[in-house]
Amino acid sequence: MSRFDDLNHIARLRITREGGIVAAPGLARPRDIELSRCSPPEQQQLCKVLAAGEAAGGDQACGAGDQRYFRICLFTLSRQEAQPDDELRVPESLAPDALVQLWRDGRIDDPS
Amino acid sequence: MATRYPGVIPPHMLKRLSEHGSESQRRWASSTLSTDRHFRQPMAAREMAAALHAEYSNSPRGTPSRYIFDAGHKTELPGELVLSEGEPATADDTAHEAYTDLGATYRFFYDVFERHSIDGEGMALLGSVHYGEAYQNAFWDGRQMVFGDGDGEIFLPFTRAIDVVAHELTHGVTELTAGLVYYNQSGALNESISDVFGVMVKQYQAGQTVDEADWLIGAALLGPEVQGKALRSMAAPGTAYDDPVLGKDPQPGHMDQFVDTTDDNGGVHINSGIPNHAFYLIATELGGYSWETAGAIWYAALTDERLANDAQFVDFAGLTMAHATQRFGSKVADIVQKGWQQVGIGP
Repeated sequence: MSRFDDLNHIARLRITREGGIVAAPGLARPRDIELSRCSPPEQQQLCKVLAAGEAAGGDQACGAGDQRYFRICLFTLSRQEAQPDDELRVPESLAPDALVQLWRDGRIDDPS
Repeated sequence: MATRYPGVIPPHMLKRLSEHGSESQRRWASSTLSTDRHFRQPMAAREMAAALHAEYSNSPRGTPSRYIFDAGHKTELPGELVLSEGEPATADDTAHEAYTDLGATYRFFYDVFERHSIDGEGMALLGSVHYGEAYQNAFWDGRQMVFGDGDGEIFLPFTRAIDVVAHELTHGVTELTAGLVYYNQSGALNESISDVFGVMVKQYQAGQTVDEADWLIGAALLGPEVQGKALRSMAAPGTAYDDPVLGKDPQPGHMDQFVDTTDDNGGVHINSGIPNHAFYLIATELGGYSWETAGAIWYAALTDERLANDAQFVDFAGLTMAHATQRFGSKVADIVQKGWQQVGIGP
Protein backbone atom coordinates (compact mmCIF):
# COMPACT_ATOMS: atom_id res chain seq x y z
CA MET A 1 0.00 0.00 0.00
CA SER A 2 1.15 3.47 -0.81
CA ARG A 3 -0.46 6.81 -0.19
CA PHE A 4 -0.02 7.32 -3.93
CA ASP A 5 -2.18 4.36 -4.96
CA ASP A 6 -4.96 6.74 -5.89
CA LEU A 7 -4.36 10.14 -7.48
CA ASN A 8 -8.00 10.92 -8.24
CA HIS A 9 -7.95 13.97 -6.00
CA ILE A 10 -4.74 15.35 -7.52
CA ALA A 11 -4.88 17.93 -10.30
CA ARG A 12 -1.22 18.45 -10.97
CA LEU A 13 2.24 17.05 -10.19
CA ARG A 14 5.45 19.01 -10.23
CA ILE A 15 8.79 17.22 -10.26
CA THR A 16 12.03 19.12 -9.68
CA ARG A 17 15.59 18.08 -9.03
CA GLU A 18 16.96 20.14 -6.17
CA GLY A 19 20.03 20.32 -4.00
CA GLY A 20 23.60 20.34 -5.23
CA ILE A 21 26.33 22.80 -4.40
CA VAL A 22 24.56 25.73 -6.01
CA ALA A 23 20.87 26.64 -6.03
CA ALA A 24 20.94 27.99 -9.58
CA PRO A 25 17.29 28.40 -10.62
CA GLY A 26 18.02 26.93 -14.03
CA LEU A 27 19.19 23.59 -12.68
CA ALA A 28 15.90 22.51 -11.06
CA ARG A 29 14.12 22.03 -14.41
CA PRO A 30 10.56 21.70 -13.08
CA ARG A 31 8.34 19.20 -14.87
CA ASP A 32 4.60 19.81 -14.54
CA ILE A 33 2.05 17.10 -15.28
CA GLU A 34 -1.67 17.88 -15.52
CA LEU A 35 -3.50 14.76 -14.39
CA SER A 36 -6.67 15.71 -16.27
CA ARG A 37 -4.76 15.30 -19.50
CA CYS A 38 -3.51 11.82 -18.65
CA SER A 39 -5.44 8.66 -19.56
CA PRO A 40 -6.39 6.21 -16.77
CA PRO A 41 -3.50 3.85 -17.70
CA GLU A 42 -1.10 6.79 -17.64
CA GLN A 43 -2.40 7.81 -14.23
CA GLN A 44 -1.85 4.25 -13.03
CA GLN A 45 1.75 4.46 -14.19
CA LEU A 46 2.23 7.70 -12.31
CA CYS A 47 0.89 6.01 -9.16
CA LYS A 48 3.44 3.23 -9.59
CA VAL A 49 6.31 5.67 -10.07
CA LEU A 50 5.44 7.63 -6.95
CA ALA A 51 4.97 4.45 -4.92
CA ALA A 52 8.36 3.20 -6.15
CA GLY A 53 9.96 6.49 -5.15
CA GLU A 54 8.35 6.27 -1.73
CA ALA A 55 9.56 2.68 -1.29
CA ALA A 56 13.06 3.50 -2.48
CA GLY A 57 13.63 5.98 0.29
CA GLY A 58 11.20 8.78 -0.24
CA ASP A 59 10.47 11.26 2.51
CA GLN A 60 13.92 10.84 3.99
CA ALA A 61 15.67 13.99 5.05
CA CYS A 62 17.71 14.52 1.94
CA GLY A 63 20.07 16.99 0.38
CA ALA A 64 22.61 17.28 3.22
CA GLY A 65 26.16 17.99 2.13
CA ASP A 66 25.07 19.22 -1.31
CA GLN A 67 23.54 15.90 -2.36
CA ARG A 68 20.84 16.24 -4.98
CA TYR A 69 17.30 14.92 -4.62
CA PHE A 70 14.04 14.74 -6.51
CA ARG A 71 11.06 16.57 -5.12
CA ILE A 72 7.52 15.73 -6.21
CA CYS A 73 4.80 18.19 -5.21
CA LEU A 74 1.16 17.15 -5.54
CA PHE A 75 -1.53 19.80 -5.97
CA THR A 76 -5.28 19.42 -5.65
CA LEU A 77 -5.68 22.67 -7.57
CA SER A 78 -4.25 23.10 -11.03
CA ARG A 79 -3.42 26.78 -10.78
CA GLN A 80 0.31 27.45 -10.74
CA GLU A 81 0.35 29.56 -7.59
CA ALA A 82 -1.31 26.87 -5.45
CA GLN A 83 0.53 25.44 -2.45
CA PRO A 84 1.33 21.72 -2.65
CA ASP A 85 -1.03 19.45 -0.72
CA ASP A 86 1.45 16.60 -0.46
CA GLU A 87 5.12 16.16 -1.16
CA LEU A 88 7.60 13.35 -1.72
CA ARG A 89 11.38 13.70 -1.66
CA VAL A 90 13.66 11.02 -3.03
CA PRO A 91 17.47 11.17 -2.82
CA GLU A 92 19.06 11.11 -6.28
CA SER A 93 21.14 8.12 -5.24
CA LEU A 94 17.98 6.10 -4.54
CA ALA A 95 15.67 7.39 -7.25
CA PRO A 96 14.02 4.74 -9.45
CA ASP A 97 14.89 5.01 -13.13
CA ALA A 98 11.24 5.63 -13.98
CA LEU A 99 11.11 8.69 -11.75
CA VAL A 100 14.27 10.08 -13.29
CA GLN A 101 12.90 9.44 -16.75
CA LEU A 102 9.59 11.06 -15.90
CA TRP A 103 11.38 14.19 -14.72
CA ARG A 104 13.86 14.19 -17.58
CA ASP A 105 11.66 13.20 -20.51
CA GLY A 106 8.07 13.61 -19.34
CA ARG A 107 7.29 10.00 -20.11
CA ILE A 108 7.71 6.51 -18.70
CA ASP A 109 8.83 3.54 -20.72
CA ASP A 110 6.24 0.83 -20.26
CA PRO A 111 8.05 -2.43 -19.50
CA SER A 112 5.14 -4.38 -20.97
CA MET B 1 6.47 1.05 -25.76
CA ALA B 2 6.75 4.51 -24.29
CA THR B 3 3.80 6.34 -22.80
CA ARG B 4 3.79 10.05 -23.54
CA TYR B 5 1.99 12.51 -21.36
CA PRO B 6 0.05 15.02 -23.41
CA GLY B 7 -0.39 17.25 -20.37
CA VAL B 8 3.31 17.63 -19.74
CA ILE B 9 4.50 21.21 -19.84
CA PRO B 10 8.03 21.37 -21.26
CA PRO B 11 10.52 22.08 -18.44
CA HIS B 12 11.55 25.67 -18.67
CA MET B 13 15.20 24.98 -18.42
CA LEU B 14 15.24 22.40 -21.20
CA LYS B 15 13.41 24.95 -23.28
CA ARG B 16 16.04 27.49 -22.40
CA LEU B 17 18.75 25.06 -23.36
CA SER B 18 17.04 24.17 -26.62
CA GLU B 19 16.66 27.84 -27.46
CA HIS B 20 19.92 29.21 -26.17
CA GLY B 21 22.30 26.32 -25.56
CA SER B 22 24.90 25.23 -28.04
CA GLU B 23 24.65 21.85 -29.68
CA SER B 24 27.26 20.46 -27.31
CA GLN B 25 25.36 21.89 -24.31
CA ARG B 26 22.30 20.01 -25.44
CA ARG B 27 24.33 16.82 -25.69
CA TRP B 28 25.73 17.50 -22.24
CA ALA B 29 22.27 17.97 -20.77
CA SER B 30 21.16 14.60 -22.04
CA SER B 31 24.24 12.96 -20.63
CA THR B 32 23.96 14.60 -17.23
CA LEU B 33 20.33 13.66 -16.88
CA SER B 34 20.97 10.03 -17.66
CA THR B 35 23.47 9.33 -14.92
CA ASP B 36 20.95 7.97 -12.53
CA ARG B 37 20.69 4.48 -13.97
CA HIS B 38 23.48 3.14 -11.79
CA PHE B 39 22.70 4.99 -8.61
CA ARG B 40 21.80 2.10 -6.37
CA GLN B 41 23.74 0.01 -3.86
CA PRO B 42 23.94 2.65 -1.13
CA MET B 43 24.43 0.01 1.54
CA ALA B 44 27.41 -1.49 -0.27
CA ALA B 45 28.97 1.95 -0.56
CA ARG B 46 28.37 2.62 3.13
CA GLU B 47 29.99 -0.65 4.15
CA MET B 48 32.92 0.00 1.85
CA ALA B 49 33.45 3.49 3.27
CA ALA B 50 33.28 2.19 6.85
CA ALA B 51 35.89 -0.43 6.04
CA LEU B 52 38.13 2.15 4.38
CA HIS B 53 37.87 4.50 7.33
CA ALA B 54 38.71 1.67 9.71
CA GLU B 55 41.74 0.73 7.63
CA TYR B 56 43.13 4.14 6.74
CA SER B 57 42.25 6.54 9.58
CA ASN B 58 45.52 6.12 11.38
CA SER B 59 47.77 9.03 10.46
CA PRO B 60 49.81 10.84 13.11
CA ARG B 61 48.75 14.35 14.05
CA GLY B 62 49.81 16.88 11.45
CA THR B 63 49.65 14.36 8.61
CA PRO B 64 46.58 13.74 6.45
CA SER B 65 45.41 10.35 5.32
CA ARG B 66 44.16 10.83 1.76
CA TYR B 67 42.74 8.21 -0.59
CA ILE B 68 41.49 9.13 -4.03
CA PHE B 69 39.24 6.83 -6.03
CA ASP B 70 38.28 6.86 -9.69
CA ALA B 71 34.54 6.24 -10.07
CA GLY B 72 35.13 5.57 -13.77
CA HIS B 73 32.21 7.78 -14.84
CA LYS B 74 29.82 5.51 -12.98
CA THR B 75 27.88 6.31 -9.84
CA GLU B 76 28.94 3.47 -7.59
CA LEU B 77 31.12 4.64 -4.73
CA PRO B 78 33.91 4.82 -3.98
CA GLY B 79 35.36 3.35 -7.23
CA GLU B 80 38.91 2.16 -7.88
CA LEU B 81 41.66 3.38 -5.54
CA VAL B 82 44.12 5.34 -7.71
CA LEU B 83 46.14 7.46 -5.28
CA SER B 84 47.03 6.80 -1.65
CA GLU B 85 48.67 9.04 0.93
CA GLY B 86 52.33 9.59 0.19
CA GLU B 87 52.34 8.10 -3.29
CA PRO B 88 53.87 10.07 -6.19
CA ALA B 89 51.57 12.19 -8.33
CA THR B 90 49.30 10.33 -10.67
CA ALA B 91 48.98 11.15 -14.36
CA ASP B 92 45.31 11.84 -13.77
CA ASP B 93 45.13 15.60 -13.20
CA THR B 94 41.71 15.41 -11.57
CA ALA B 95 42.77 12.77 -9.07
CA HIS B 96 45.90 14.81 -8.36
CA GLU B 97 43.83 17.97 -7.85
CA ALA B 98 41.59 16.21 -5.37
CA TYR B 99 44.62 14.88 -3.50
CA THR B 100 46.40 18.24 -3.30
CA ASP B 101 43.25 20.24 -2.52
CA LEU B 102 42.28 17.86 0.29
CA GLY B 103 45.85 18.11 1.57
CA ALA B 104 45.70 21.90 1.54
CA THR B 105 42.38 21.83 3.38
CA TYR B 106 43.75 19.42 5.97
CA ARG B 107 46.79 21.68 6.37
CA PHE B 108 44.58 24.74 6.93
CA PHE B 109 42.47 23.10 9.61
CA TYR B 110 45.53 21.65 11.33
CA ASP B 111 47.85 24.66 11.12
CA VAL B 112 45.25 27.26 12.03
CA PHE B 113 42.92 25.40 14.40
CA GLU B 114 44.98 22.32 15.34
CA ARG B 115 42.15 20.15 14.02
CA HIS B 116 43.41 16.73 12.94
CA SER B 117 41.15 16.03 9.96
CA ILE B 118 37.34 16.01 9.74
CA ASP B 119 36.68 14.40 13.10
CA GLY B 120 39.70 15.86 14.88
CA GLU B 121 41.08 12.36 15.27
CA GLY B 122 42.73 11.72 11.91
CA MET B 123 39.74 10.51 9.91
CA ALA B 124 40.76 9.40 6.43
CA LEU B 125 39.95 11.85 3.65
CA LEU B 126 38.24 9.80 0.96
CA GLY B 127 37.48 11.41 -2.38
CA SER B 128 36.02 9.97 -5.56
CA VAL B 129 36.62 11.70 -8.88
CA HIS B 130 35.11 11.15 -12.34
CA TYR B 131 31.74 10.46 -10.74
CA GLY B 132 28.99 9.97 -13.32
CA GLU B 133 28.98 11.24 -16.88
CA ALA B 134 29.78 14.95 -17.03
CA TYR B 135 28.19 15.12 -13.57
CA GLN B 136 27.67 18.72 -12.53
CA ASN B 137 27.97 18.57 -8.79
CA ALA B 138 30.23 17.83 -5.83
CA PHE B 139 28.97 16.58 -2.48
CA TRP B 140 29.74 15.10 0.92
CA ASP B 141 27.73 11.93 1.48
CA GLY B 142 28.44 11.54 5.19
CA ARG B 143 31.45 9.31 4.56
CA GLN B 144 33.41 10.77 1.69
CA MET B 145 33.67 13.57 -0.85
CA VAL B 146 32.48 13.08 -4.42
CA PHE B 147 33.42 15.16 -7.44
CA GLY B 148 31.85 15.27 -10.88
CA ASP B 149 33.71 16.27 -14.01
CA GLY B 150 31.20 18.89 -15.12
CA ASP B 151 30.35 19.31 -18.78
CA GLY B 152 33.40 21.41 -19.67
CA GLU B 153 31.33 24.37 -20.81
CA ILE B 154 29.20 25.42 -17.87
CA PHE B 155 31.06 23.55 -15.15
CA LEU B 156 34.69 22.42 -15.23
CA PRO B 157 35.81 19.49 -13.03
CA PHE B 158 34.74 20.24 -9.48
CA THR B 159 38.22 19.50 -8.16
CA ARG B 160 39.42 22.57 -10.06
CA ALA B 161 38.24 24.90 -7.31
CA ILE B 162 40.03 24.45 -3.98
CA ASP B 163 37.30 26.41 -2.19
CA VAL B 164 34.71 23.91 -3.44
CA VAL B 165 36.80 20.95 -2.27
CA ALA B 166 37.23 22.66 1.10
CA HIS B 167 33.50 23.45 1.16
CA GLU B 168 32.70 19.75 0.89
CA LEU B 169 35.25 18.71 3.51
CA THR B 170 33.84 21.34 5.85
CA HIS B 171 30.41 19.71 5.55
CA GLY B 172 32.04 16.76 7.26
CA VAL B 173 33.44 18.97 10.01
CA THR B 174 30.05 20.59 10.60
CA GLU B 175 28.30 17.22 10.62
CA LEU B 176 30.64 15.96 13.33
CA THR B 177 30.58 19.12 15.43
CA ALA B 178 27.43 21.26 15.51
CA GLY B 179 25.46 18.85 13.30
CA LEU B 180 23.42 21.73 11.95
CA VAL B 181 20.11 20.47 10.58
CA TYR B 182 20.05 20.88 6.83
CA TYR B 183 16.86 22.91 6.54
CA ASN B 184 15.83 26.55 6.76
CA GLN B 185 18.15 28.83 8.77
CA SER B 186 20.21 26.08 10.42
CA GLY B 187 20.74 24.58 6.96
CA ALA B 188 21.71 27.94 5.52
CA LEU B 189 24.13 28.35 8.42
CA ASN B 190 25.54 24.91 7.60
CA GLU B 191 26.05 26.00 4.00
CA SER B 192 27.52 29.34 4.98
CA ILE B 193 30.07 27.68 7.27
CA SER B 194 31.21 25.55 4.33
CA ASP B 195 31.59 28.69 2.21
CA VAL B 196 33.38 30.60 4.98
CA PHE B 197 35.94 27.86 5.55
CA GLY B 198 36.14 27.17 1.83
CA VAL B 199 37.03 30.75 1.05
CA MET B 200 39.51 30.87 3.93
CA VAL B 201 41.28 27.77 2.60
CA LYS B 202 41.54 29.46 -0.79
CA GLN B 203 42.95 32.63 0.77
CA TYR B 204 45.33 30.68 3.04
CA GLN B 205 46.62 28.70 0.07
CA ALA B 206 47.19 31.90 -1.90
CA GLY B 207 48.56 33.85 1.08
CA GLN B 208 45.98 36.55 0.50
CA THR B 209 44.87 39.24 2.90
CA VAL B 210 41.19 40.18 3.10
CA ASP B 211 41.85 43.10 0.76
CA GLU B 212 43.59 40.94 -1.83
CA ALA B 213 40.95 38.19 -1.86
CA ASP B 214 38.09 38.06 -4.38
CA TRP B 215 35.59 36.56 -1.88
CA LEU B 216 34.10 34.36 -4.60
CA ILE B 217 33.08 30.73 -4.20
CA GLY B 218 33.74 28.35 -7.08
CA ALA B 219 35.17 30.92 -9.48
CA ALA B 220 37.59 28.36 -10.86
CA LEU B 221 34.98 25.85 -11.91
CA LEU B 222 32.70 27.96 -14.06
CA GLY B 223 33.23 27.21 -17.73
CA PRO B 224 33.83 29.75 -20.48
CA GLU B 225 30.19 29.72 -21.59
CA VAL B 226 28.78 30.99 -18.30
CA GLN B 227 27.75 34.61 -17.92
CA GLY B 228 29.02 34.97 -14.39
CA LYS B 229 32.10 34.89 -12.23
CA ALA B 230 31.42 32.23 -9.59
CA LEU B 231 28.79 30.15 -7.78
CA ARG B 232 28.45 32.74 -5.03
CA SER B 233 29.86 36.09 -3.99
CA MET B 234 30.39 36.74 -0.30
CA ALA B 235 31.18 40.41 -0.95
CA ALA B 236 28.04 40.99 -3.03
CA PRO B 237 25.53 38.14 -2.68
CA GLY B 238 23.19 37.86 -5.65
CA THR B 239 25.73 39.03 -8.22
CA ALA B 240 27.72 35.87 -8.94
CA TYR B 241 25.96 34.97 -12.20
CA ASP B 242 23.11 35.96 -14.47
CA ASP B 243 23.11 33.34 -17.16
CA PRO B 244 20.61 32.05 -19.74
CA VAL B 245 21.11 28.48 -18.54
CA LEU B 246 21.74 28.88 -14.81
CA GLY B 247 19.35 31.75 -14.26
CA LYS B 248 20.17 34.59 -11.87
CA ASP B 249 22.03 34.21 -8.59
CA PRO B 250 19.20 34.22 -5.97
CA GLN B 251 21.28 34.98 -2.86
CA PRO B 252 20.28 37.81 -0.52
CA GLY B 253 22.82 39.68 1.57
CA HIS B 254 20.46 41.08 4.20
CA MET B 255 17.58 39.79 6.32
CA ASP B 256 15.29 42.27 4.57
CA GLN B 257 15.64 40.10 1.47
CA PHE B 258 15.46 36.74 3.29
CA VAL B 259 13.90 34.24 0.89
CA ASP B 260 11.04 32.31 2.48
CA THR B 261 10.85 29.18 0.36
CA THR B 262 10.43 25.42 0.54
CA ASP B 263 12.79 24.98 -2.43
CA ASP B 264 16.39 23.97 -1.81
CA ASN B 265 15.57 22.59 1.65
CA GLY B 266 14.21 25.92 2.71
CA GLY B 267 16.77 27.97 0.82
CA VAL B 268 19.94 26.58 2.36
CA HIS B 269 22.09 27.68 -0.61
CA ILE B 270 20.10 30.90 -0.98
CA ASN B 271 19.89 32.47 2.48
CA SER B 272 23.45 31.39 3.26
CA GLY B 273 24.30 34.64 1.49
CA ILE B 274 23.32 36.53 4.64
CA PRO B 275 25.82 34.99 7.12
CA ASN B 276 28.33 34.80 4.25
CA HIS B 277 28.11 38.54 3.84
CA ALA B 278 28.36 39.09 7.59
CA PHE B 279 31.64 37.15 7.63
CA TYR B 280 32.92 39.19 4.70
CA LEU B 281 32.01 42.48 6.40
CA ILE B 282 33.58 41.46 9.70
CA ALA B 283 36.75 40.00 8.19
CA THR B 284 37.38 43.01 5.94
CA GLU B 285 36.74 45.44 8.78
CA LEU B 286 39.20 43.54 10.98
CA GLY B 287 41.79 43.47 8.16
CA GLY B 288 44.82 41.23 7.72
CA TYR B 289 44.27 37.55 7.13
CA SER B 290 40.71 36.30 7.45
CA TRP B 291 41.58 33.19 9.40
CA GLU B 292 43.55 34.96 12.13
CA THR B 293 40.67 36.70 13.87
CA ALA B 294 37.32 36.30 12.05
CA GLY B 295 38.10 32.68 11.19
CA ALA B 296 39.18 31.90 14.73
CA ILE B 297 35.91 33.35 16.04
CA TRP B 298 33.83 31.37 13.53
CA TYR B 299 35.66 28.13 14.37
CA ALA B 300 35.17 28.69 18.09
CA ALA B 301 31.45 29.25 17.55
CA LEU B 302 31.11 26.20 15.29
CA THR B 303 32.75 23.94 17.84
CA ASP B 304 31.03 25.48 20.85
CA GLU B 305 28.78 22.92 22.53
CA ARG B 306 26.19 25.63 23.09
CA LEU B 307 25.53 25.79 19.34
CA ALA B 308 22.31 23.82 18.91
CA ASN B 309 21.77 21.76 15.78
CA ASP B 310 18.70 23.85 14.93
CA ALA B 311 20.46 27.16 15.55
CA GLN B 312 19.18 30.27 13.83
CA PHE B 313 21.42 32.99 12.41
CA VAL B 314 20.97 35.10 15.54
CA ASP B 315 22.09 32.21 17.76
CA PHE B 316 25.31 31.78 15.81
CA ALA B 317 25.85 35.53 15.76
CA GLY B 318 25.53 35.61 19.55
CA LEU B 319 28.18 32.94 19.93
CA THR B 320 30.58 34.74 17.60
CA MET B 321 30.20 37.89 19.70
CA ALA B 322 30.82 35.93 22.89
CA HIS B 323 33.98 34.35 21.49
CA ALA B 324 35.14 37.64 20.03
CA THR B 325 34.87 39.23 23.47
CA GLN B 326 36.53 36.32 25.24
CA ARG B 327 39.44 35.89 22.86
CA PHE B 328 40.02 39.34 21.37
CA GLY B 329 38.31 41.90 23.57
CA SER B 330 35.56 44.45 23.24
CA LYS B 331 36.93 46.30 20.22
CA VAL B 332 36.83 43.18 18.06
CA ALA B 333 33.48 42.18 19.57
CA ASP B 334 32.06 45.54 18.53
CA ILE B 335 33.20 44.96 14.95
CA VAL B 336 31.60 41.52 14.97
CA GLN B 337 28.34 42.91 16.32
CA LYS B 338 28.34 45.73 13.77
CA GLY B 339 28.93 43.24 10.94
CA TRP B 340 25.92 41.17 11.94
CA GLN B 341 23.83 44.30 12.33
CA GLN B 342 24.74 45.35 8.80
CA VAL B 343 23.01 42.22 7.48
CA GLY B 344 20.01 42.73 9.75
CA ILE B 345 20.91 40.32 12.55
CA GLY B 346 21.16 41.16 16.23
CA PRO B 347 20.46 44.17 18.38
